[in-house]
Amino acid sequence: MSYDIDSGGRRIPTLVQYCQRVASANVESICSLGEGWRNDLIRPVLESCTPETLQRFEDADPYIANDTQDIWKRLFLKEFPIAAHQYESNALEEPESWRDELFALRDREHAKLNALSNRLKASRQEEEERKRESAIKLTDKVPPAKRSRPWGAPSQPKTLFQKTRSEASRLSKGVLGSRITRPAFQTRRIVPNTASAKPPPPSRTASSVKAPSSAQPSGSRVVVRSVPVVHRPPPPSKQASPMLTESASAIPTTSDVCSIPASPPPTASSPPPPSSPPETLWSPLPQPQTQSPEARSPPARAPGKKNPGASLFMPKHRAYSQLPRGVQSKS
Amino acid sequence: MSADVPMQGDERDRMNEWVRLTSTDGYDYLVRRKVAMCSGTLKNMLSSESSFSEALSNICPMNERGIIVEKLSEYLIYKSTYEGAKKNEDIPDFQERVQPEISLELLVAADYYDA
Repeated sequence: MSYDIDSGGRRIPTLVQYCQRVASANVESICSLGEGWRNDLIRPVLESCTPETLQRFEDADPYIANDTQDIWKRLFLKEFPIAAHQYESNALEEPESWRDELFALRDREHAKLNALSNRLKASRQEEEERKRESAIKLTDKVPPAKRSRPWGAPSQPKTLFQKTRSEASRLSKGVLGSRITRPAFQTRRIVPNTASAKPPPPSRTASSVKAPSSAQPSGSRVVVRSVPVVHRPPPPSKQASPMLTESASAIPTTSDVCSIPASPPPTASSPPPPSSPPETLWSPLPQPQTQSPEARSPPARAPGKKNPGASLFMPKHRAYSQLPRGVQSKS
Repeated sequence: MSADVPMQGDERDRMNEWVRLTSTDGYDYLVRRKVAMCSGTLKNMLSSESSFSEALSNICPMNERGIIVEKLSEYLIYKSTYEGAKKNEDIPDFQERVQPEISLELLVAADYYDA
């Protein structure tokens, strides 16, 4: 009798029922059931087990497994509904032991999952390896500098001043690959002309043929003796000839050499004073004219032609020219 | 006890008598007879109509541990107290008072004593 039916009383659950409820709620904590359980007593407890717990009970007390077939079937259905459906639809014969079937299927599923996860892990590792190859690594070695442009090319476009200066220095130094090639007779000759030997910077010595590329490249140029260069004037510009003659007569002294470059050329188009003499010197190079007697004059004239020199300066390249596009530059 | 509708004075007095429930580990529990009668087995044991010795001495040796006897007695009292309660009344739940540790053992005992 489950309930005590009284005339006006309440139905109180029996102690048996209470115990069954409590035991079912805590079935996970039960190690084993022990012997001699009556099936009807222990049934609710077994029905609320997980497969693992039920397996534990059955292994501890094998007699319990006698009546658990339907419990196992129910567990199997819950865990593998798709597979269970196959059995229900009689596609396959019902297994003798649902319990064995359940664990076998579980193992198969686990194996499949492991295989998949391993494959995924492997592919992910490969990708990481690839990434690590191209990742930024810390090192204390400097990687070889890349030369995207030919050696010597400027990293930034040069200003006009820079261009002219570089051209002048290149010219005087005779850099390889320089577009300016001097004819044989234009080789350096040291002329015993102190005036020429004294370039604007007094510190320079006459013997120094090569002057370090500096803000006063005119000195080296003068020493190098671009004799023909001096005779350039006429072709370069219109004003060239008249000014040349003027400067030729002028022949400033050594001291003047210093001063002349300093004086800004009034009609100078653009080149800075220091560079004007040198420009005058090398710009006319393409049409060399050697004149030894004028050896002295050229250097002297170069400085003397400060003003005319400035105006004489014609950029070799159209790009350097600041004249309006339509005017043809001398070079 | 539930079936005894016409309660004689003697019967009532008798029902108020104390009954001793003994355990295997030396614990004794005293309950009213009417309480003990909530248990089918005990009722049979204590029935005046039977010739069991318990009926005479009012002592029921129970083959259970002290804890189990105690919990059983507790339930019997709970049951005897509330089985006559009306539907609207709130009854405390006995489930909380069943410790999980003894639930299986108590289950066996409860079944045996038909509580």
